Amino acid sequence: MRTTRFEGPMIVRTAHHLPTRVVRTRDIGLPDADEMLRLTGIETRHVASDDVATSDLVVAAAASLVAERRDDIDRVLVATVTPDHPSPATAPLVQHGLGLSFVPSMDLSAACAGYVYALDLAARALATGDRTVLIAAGECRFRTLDAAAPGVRALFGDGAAAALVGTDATPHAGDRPRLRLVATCLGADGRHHGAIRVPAGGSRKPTTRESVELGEHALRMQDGPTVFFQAVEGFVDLARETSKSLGLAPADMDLIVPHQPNLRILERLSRLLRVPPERFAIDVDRIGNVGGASVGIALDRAFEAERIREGMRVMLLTAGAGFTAGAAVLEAVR
Amino acid sequence: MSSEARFLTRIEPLLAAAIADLALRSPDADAELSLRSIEVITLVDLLEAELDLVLTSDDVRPEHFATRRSIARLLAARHGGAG
Repeated sequence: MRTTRFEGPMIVRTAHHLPTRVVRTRDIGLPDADEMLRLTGIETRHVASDDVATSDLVVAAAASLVAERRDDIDRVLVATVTPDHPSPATAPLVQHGLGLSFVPSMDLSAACAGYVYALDLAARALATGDRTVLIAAGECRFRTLDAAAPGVRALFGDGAAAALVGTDATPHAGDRPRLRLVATCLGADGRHHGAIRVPAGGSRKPTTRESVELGEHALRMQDGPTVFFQAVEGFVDLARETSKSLGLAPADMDLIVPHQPNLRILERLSRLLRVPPERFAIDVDRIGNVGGASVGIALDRAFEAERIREGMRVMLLTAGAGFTAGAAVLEAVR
Repeated sequence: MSSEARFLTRIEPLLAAAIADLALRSPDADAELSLRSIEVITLVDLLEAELDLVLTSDDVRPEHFATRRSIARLLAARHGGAG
C-alpha cells in the first residue's frame, strides 16, 4: 500500500440516489432469513426497477451536483462492476445523460474500493490541470444475483453516489463543509482474486450456453468465516497503515466512513480499531452492500445527518473484490 | 489437568451460548461440530471476550473449529497454555 499526500483537492459536494423500492431480507426467498439477519445485520435494501440500469442511478445521483456547472466539469469517472453493458463503458452514458460537454469519461473497476480509487484519480487529474471532476459509483446488482445463492443474495442492494472534486476555487453552495483531501492510500492483492468473483462472461471464460446454465454470470463468494475475518483484517490493516503514514492513529479520526459489507464486519472492525461505533457512519442495516457506491452513500448520508462539521477529520475506508483496498483522509473545511 | 483439558471445560458454556441446538450434537470432544459461519463468528466473539485475545483468519480455519478438542487445542496454543 502506498500513501499519497495532496494539497488542494477537495470534495466540494456529495450526493446519492437510492431506488424507491425497498425489499426486506425476510421477503427475498431465503431458506433461513433469521440466520442471515443475524449473520449480516442487513434488514432491507433498495432495489432498482427493471427498466433502470446503473447509468440511470448515477445520473439521478449526480444531477443536482452538475445542475448549474456543466461547463466547469472537465472529467467523469464512474466506478462500477455492474455496468449497463460489458462494452462500451457506462461513463459516456452518464456524460450524455447529464448533458455534459465533450469531456473524457471512463469507467473504473475496483469493486467496493471504486469510489476511493475514483477520488484518488480525480485528485491526480486536478494536479494536471482539470478544474472539477465528477466522480461517481453505482451498482445495479440485485437483479444479477443467483437466487440459488441466498448467502450472497442477502447482502446486496442497488444505488449510486456522486461527488464533485475540485479545489478551493471551485464554487460551492456553502451550506455544508467541504472535505479537503489530505491523503489517499490504495493497494491491491490479486492472490485473493477468486474469493469474490463473477466466474464467466470475460475473456477467460466467455459466455456460453453452459456458463449460463451453470449460473456462472452471477457473483460468487467464498463461504465461511475465513473470508469474514480476512475482510476485517484488511480493513484494520488499511486503517492503521493509512493513519500511521500521517503520524496518526485510527482513534484520531472523528468519523470513519467505511464500505458497508455487513454489520457484523463493521462491529468487529470498530472493536479491533478501538474506535467506538458512534464514530462510524453505518447504514448497511437499511441499505445493504451497494458495492463501490456504499462508502459514497454513507458519506452523503453523514452530511445529511449533520454528522460532519468544520474541523473534523474523516476517513473513508474501503476494500473489495480483487482484493482492492483504498482509504482517504479528509478534513472538513468551510 | 492439561491446558487443553482446561479449555475443553471452559469453552462449554460459550458453545452453549453460540450454538442454539448444541444439545442435539454429540458431547464427545472429538465429534464433528459442523459449525455454521454464524456460529463460528458468534463463538469467536465470546471466546475473545472471555479470554481477552484476538483470533485471526488463520485461527478460524475449518480444521480449528471442527471439534471441541480442536478448539481447545487452538486456544491452548494461542493463550500460551494459561487456560
